[in-house]
Amino acid sequence: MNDATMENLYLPATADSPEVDFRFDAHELTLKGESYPENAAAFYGSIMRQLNDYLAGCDESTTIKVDIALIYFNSSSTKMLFAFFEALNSAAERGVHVVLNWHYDPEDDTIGDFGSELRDDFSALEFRDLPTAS
Amino acid sequence: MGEHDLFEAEELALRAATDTHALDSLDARSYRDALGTLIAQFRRLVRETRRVIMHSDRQERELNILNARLTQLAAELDYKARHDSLTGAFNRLAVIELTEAHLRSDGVALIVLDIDHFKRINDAHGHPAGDAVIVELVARLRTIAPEPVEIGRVGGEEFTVVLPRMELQVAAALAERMRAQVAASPFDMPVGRIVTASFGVSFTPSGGTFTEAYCSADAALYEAKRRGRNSVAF
Repeated sequence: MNDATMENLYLPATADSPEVDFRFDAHELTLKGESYPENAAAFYGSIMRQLNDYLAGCDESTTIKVDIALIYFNSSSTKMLFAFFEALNSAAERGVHVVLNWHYDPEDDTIGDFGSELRDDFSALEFRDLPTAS
Repeated sequence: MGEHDLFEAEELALRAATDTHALDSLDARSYRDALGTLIAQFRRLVRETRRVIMHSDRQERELNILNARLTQLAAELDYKARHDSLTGAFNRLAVIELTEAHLRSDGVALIVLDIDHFKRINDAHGHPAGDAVIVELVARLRTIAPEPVEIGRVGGEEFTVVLPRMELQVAAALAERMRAQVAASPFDMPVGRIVTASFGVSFTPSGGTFTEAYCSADAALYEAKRRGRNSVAF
């Protein structure tokens, strides 16, 4: 079961980092915007710690809805995003139901194709391809 | 490395493999397990690196395209900021900058010309016809002006030709050829008749200002008008 006392995590978007809205109590995790922070390892490192604590408390009875709407991310953010999806994928492999909603502008092939690669690489996630005209 | 490391997982795997490698007394199973763990990490690293590089190459390509477009737009904007949209001649600001740039190192002859009785053309044929006369006049000046052509439109029907390192007498002769070219034949329809212009010419030595050059040429232009127009004064 999930730790009911676990605090939600909200970080507003900045010029170089995305909005982070992790509502652990509702099992809804959202990343939205652009990501090219000066220190991606530090930015995502603290997020990952809380995510891992949260995931440790999830089991087969949990359905996690993950909404990703990133319009740009640099290389180091990409590396950290892989760690993020890896953590979710590991949880899914032990029975947690994880839905990944991949939102992107249908004209942005780069982000669309990146989503397809995620579907291939993290196959335990239920991937939903959501091209949405802005 | 600091508190956070982009390659935290890889460093951990590397350390574990190094530790195992340093021991020479483990059983084969332990070495095999360690190798298996390392293979899994290495495989993931290769896959991720492949993705990251493809993604970053792609973004770089898109960025290069955008950058080229930006450079092109900046050049177009710079051109528009310095040219008259009707004739493609330099605009007033560009004429001033151009003249002052030349004057920093050289003397400059300046021709200022004004279409005679332009208001009558506009009144008789309409402003679009007046615009057509202006365009044709600049085209006629271009056939005479030396390369690189530095014709400017400084007012509604008032133009300049900036001539760096040209003596006054030479510039005046050039102005006379321009005057003759303008007055040589009727302009295109709908105006369809002879249009003339008056010319004033000045020379300003190196170190002078645009205002000096312009005022001096404008005074000569006034003299040309006073003499009955369709003439050159200096």
